[in-house]
Amino acid sequence: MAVFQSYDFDSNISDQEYLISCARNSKSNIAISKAWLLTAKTIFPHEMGIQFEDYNLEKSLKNTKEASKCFSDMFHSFPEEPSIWEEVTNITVSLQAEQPTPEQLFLKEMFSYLTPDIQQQLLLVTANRTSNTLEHCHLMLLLLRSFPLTTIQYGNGLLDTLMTAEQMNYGNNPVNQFRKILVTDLIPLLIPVQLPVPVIYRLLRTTVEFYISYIFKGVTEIEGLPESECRIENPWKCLMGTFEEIVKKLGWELSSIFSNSWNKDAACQRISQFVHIHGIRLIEDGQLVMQVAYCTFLLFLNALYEYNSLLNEGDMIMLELPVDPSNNPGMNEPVPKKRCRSKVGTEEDIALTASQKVTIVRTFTVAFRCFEMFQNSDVLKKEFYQLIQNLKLENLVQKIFQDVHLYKGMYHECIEKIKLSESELKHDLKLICIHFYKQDFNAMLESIANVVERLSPYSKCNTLHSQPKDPQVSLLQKSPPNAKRHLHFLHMKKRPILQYIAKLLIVSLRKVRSRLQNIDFDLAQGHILVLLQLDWPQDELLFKEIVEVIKMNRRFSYNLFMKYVICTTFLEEFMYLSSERGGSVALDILIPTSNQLLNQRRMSTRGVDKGAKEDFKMAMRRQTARINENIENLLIQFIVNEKEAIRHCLNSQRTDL
Amino acid sequence: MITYETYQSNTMKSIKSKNKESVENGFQDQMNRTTINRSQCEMKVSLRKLDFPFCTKEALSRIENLLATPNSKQAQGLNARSNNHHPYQPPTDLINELIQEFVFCETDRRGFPCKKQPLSCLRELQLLEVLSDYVCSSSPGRAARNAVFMSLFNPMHPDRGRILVKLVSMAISINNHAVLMATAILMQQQSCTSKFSIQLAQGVVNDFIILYPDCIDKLRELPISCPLFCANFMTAVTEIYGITLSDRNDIPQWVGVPEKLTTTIIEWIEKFGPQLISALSMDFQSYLPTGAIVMAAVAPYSGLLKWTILSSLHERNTSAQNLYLFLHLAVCNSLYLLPEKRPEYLLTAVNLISIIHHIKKCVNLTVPQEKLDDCLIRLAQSVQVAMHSKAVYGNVRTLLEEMESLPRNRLMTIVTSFQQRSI
Repeated sequence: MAVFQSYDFDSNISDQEYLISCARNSKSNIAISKAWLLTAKTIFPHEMGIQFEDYNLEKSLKNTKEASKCFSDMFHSFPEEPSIWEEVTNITVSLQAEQPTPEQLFLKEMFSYLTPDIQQQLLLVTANRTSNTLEHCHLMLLLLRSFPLTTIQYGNGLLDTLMTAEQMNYGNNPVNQFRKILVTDLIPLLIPVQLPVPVIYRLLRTTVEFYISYIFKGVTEIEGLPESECRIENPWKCLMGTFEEIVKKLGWELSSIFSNSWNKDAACQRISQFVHIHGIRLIEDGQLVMQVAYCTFLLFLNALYEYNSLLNEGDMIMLELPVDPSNNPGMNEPVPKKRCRSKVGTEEDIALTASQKVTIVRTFTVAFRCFEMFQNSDVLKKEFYQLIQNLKLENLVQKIFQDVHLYKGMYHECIEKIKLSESELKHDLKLICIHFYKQDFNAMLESIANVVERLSPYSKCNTLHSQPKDPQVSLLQKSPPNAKRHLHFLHMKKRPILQYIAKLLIVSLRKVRSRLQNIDFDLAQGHILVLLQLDWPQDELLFKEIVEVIKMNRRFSYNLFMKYVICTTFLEEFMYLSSERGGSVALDILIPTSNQLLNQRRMSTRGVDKGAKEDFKMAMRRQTARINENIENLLIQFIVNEKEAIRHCLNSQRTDL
Repeated sequence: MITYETYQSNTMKSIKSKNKESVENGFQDQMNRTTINRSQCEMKVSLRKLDFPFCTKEALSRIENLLATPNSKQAQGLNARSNNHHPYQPPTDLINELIQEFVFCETDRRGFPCKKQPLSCLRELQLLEVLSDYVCSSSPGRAARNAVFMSLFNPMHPDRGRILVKLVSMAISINNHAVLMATAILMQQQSCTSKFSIQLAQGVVNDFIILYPDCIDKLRELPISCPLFCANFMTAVTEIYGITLSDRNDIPQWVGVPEKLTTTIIEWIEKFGPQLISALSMDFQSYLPTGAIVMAAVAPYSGLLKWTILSSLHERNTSAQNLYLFLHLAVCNSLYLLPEKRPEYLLTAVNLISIIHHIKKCVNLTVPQEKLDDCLIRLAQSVQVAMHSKAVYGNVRTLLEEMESLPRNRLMTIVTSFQQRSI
């Protein structure tokens, strides 16, 4: 059997080359080839070519264990050989490959058979040889991950490298690829390592900065990374998890506050208790201040984020509603700011409601409590605004600050926070609310006119026009009993907005009514009647009260009556009032016809003008036919067309002051 | 070579000299001897009262007592004086008689050989069980048990080899380490290349390779059950197959190794090479009775190299030849990766030289150049790797000279000049 090549004394090739060529020529039989290489190795133990041939043979046979042995020997004996470095690069690339090729899979497996010593050395040396920072970082991570003990030695260095790289490449944008590596890959590895306190704080800051910027930026874009790697699933959970791990190292009592299945209320409760227990020490103890500041701040931001998204999802706006006078006699009137501040400071006095997405109430309350926690201490307050500034959250907190001030009845501060950037409709609605509570009725009316114009059927804001399912039911919730103030998250739809505006106008008119004389008084009463139609039969008491006053005065003059009053009950009541049984009230409510104008005849039920009486009855009968008209549009028309008439009433009050 | 036989003949001599001494010592010693003779008779009588296999069990424990150095007060009192000068000599004749009559049933109560078939199949099976149980029992020390075992399977009674093969095959089948270990010690003390060991190995090969090849899996597990037995078995089996090297001029017949056996041996070496070699350097003294001389272990390398190197000249079967190539690689690898714990002499220059002599004889006859080159390369490779691992003992200079006197071959030249430089 011809197994070996005939002996060859060709002196042109060296002994080494001869042995390698014999191994190569007998590759058809592995045993022969291997025997040649084994012999060659014992004769020339320092011959790179022989070992590489051996390695390639094992590799071609897919013998991971044997190949790893050959590789170790080579790596050990020829650390500077280029062909080895080529292979080392192949190995490190394979280790990081997400979908390895069969060859990469082989190298990966082979790597696992290398001794830990060599694995470690291989990664470290490769990492230090590469000029690409990102690759260097990935290799170092691979090293730290495979050999957790090396973290002590190299962890800090990698931290510095990442921070420098980030600074140089991305300046002030914390949402970048290096930061992602730092936060999501390196920090978990650093957790078990003992670190100096300032470093731990640095990790805490960078983590919070990264996730918060990512979350609030709203766009899923991490600078330097392809789109596919930009997503972070559940960033809040990641943030809270990493936060817990880091602050555990600081020994924070509140470290587990955001542990699995935490909830905002309980967290808020725990912080308050903590603050309560530590009391005065919170001023002196920097660690305690940081603990409270960070925990409260994260809770605040979490609530803020949810708050902003709920506001957007529910298309809502926080507004204050006048409190039902039947609950709280005397509280109905808009109260001057100063009184409000002193009287309505506690949450128990304030009712907060929402007709949809009701969790927003809880979310706001938590955010509010966090905000208050910061306001209670100068040290914390300073820390709070510092954090907001550092994280560039100024714009994002505007809306909630505005609502917090509104909630606290600090209307002046609230108006300061209103930015024009907000949707104009919401902006105007907020202004309506604030002007009302600041008793600036003229300004309120201007804003109302602005809003209502856009609600008219001819406006572009079509989204608002979807019809509520049951237009008969008031979408504005009644204020809960015993509440001294009532704040509500108003759904940005046509009807609730109109209801809100009507409500404010009614309350404003009632407020000014008492100071008006004769015809102006009737005018205000008439306006209220028109406005009451929207939510009829709500506020029935008010209607009865108006009727009583008319009965008492025995006359009523409102020349817009026929234009805007179409409610059957109202018309019947006025028919009755005009009758003898009803007291023959003199009603001056008909629109003068051209003929009547010519005759200079007043449209009145008073006197014996039978024709006029007939006219009135006819007019009223005709009016009842308008029952099916859209009450919303009628009201819009009323406010738009009769703005001056309303202003006339509201302004009168001003002159009185 | 000093084997157990010599140990026994020494014992005989000492008994004779002891007898002389006792004459000089006079009456009291004579009294002692009479006492001993009486007690010997009593022992046989009491054993005869027992049925088989209980008599065998009892006999084994009596033999064990007789072989053991008496250290009870009574024994010391009896032999107080002689003990000071001479080691204890066991009553060999009595032991042999007991074994013949009560273990193997070779003689009847009057000491005459049994006429009919001494052991029925059932009795043989019972005997194997008793022997196996005895070797496995933990009460007497392993040295004492091995002493009994060596008395039982004394090479002077070759017919008992049949029983030993059965015992060993059974032990292989049930992974009985104790029996295999006792046999391995016995083989080593008799020399693994002795006729006794070769016959035993042949018996095992017959059972597992030829008669019941389905049971080969058990044989493959041998290095796990008992590495020493496995190593000694390999050494013995290399004497059965291949070629018998001699100084005579004629070339003996090449006997091919059964392929199943080659495959098994390759597997053993590849998987368990270091363990098998390490087993050869264990502390054998503790396995033998005090005073016994430990026989050096013989590694299987010499025999295996004879197979791998010379097969290239003689083996005609292609698939068998291919297996020898893998065996060659396995042997070389095993030589390359020798364990730290290993016997001093794994391979002697003399062994290798005798292989070279055989090659030279073949060169004189007509051997195709290709086959010769093949053979020379395998020789050179084996020698190179073995020398690299410092596994060759003996006159290396002569070995290299012998190699240089072979027909020219480039690898051979590379190896010899490299080794010359290394000396």
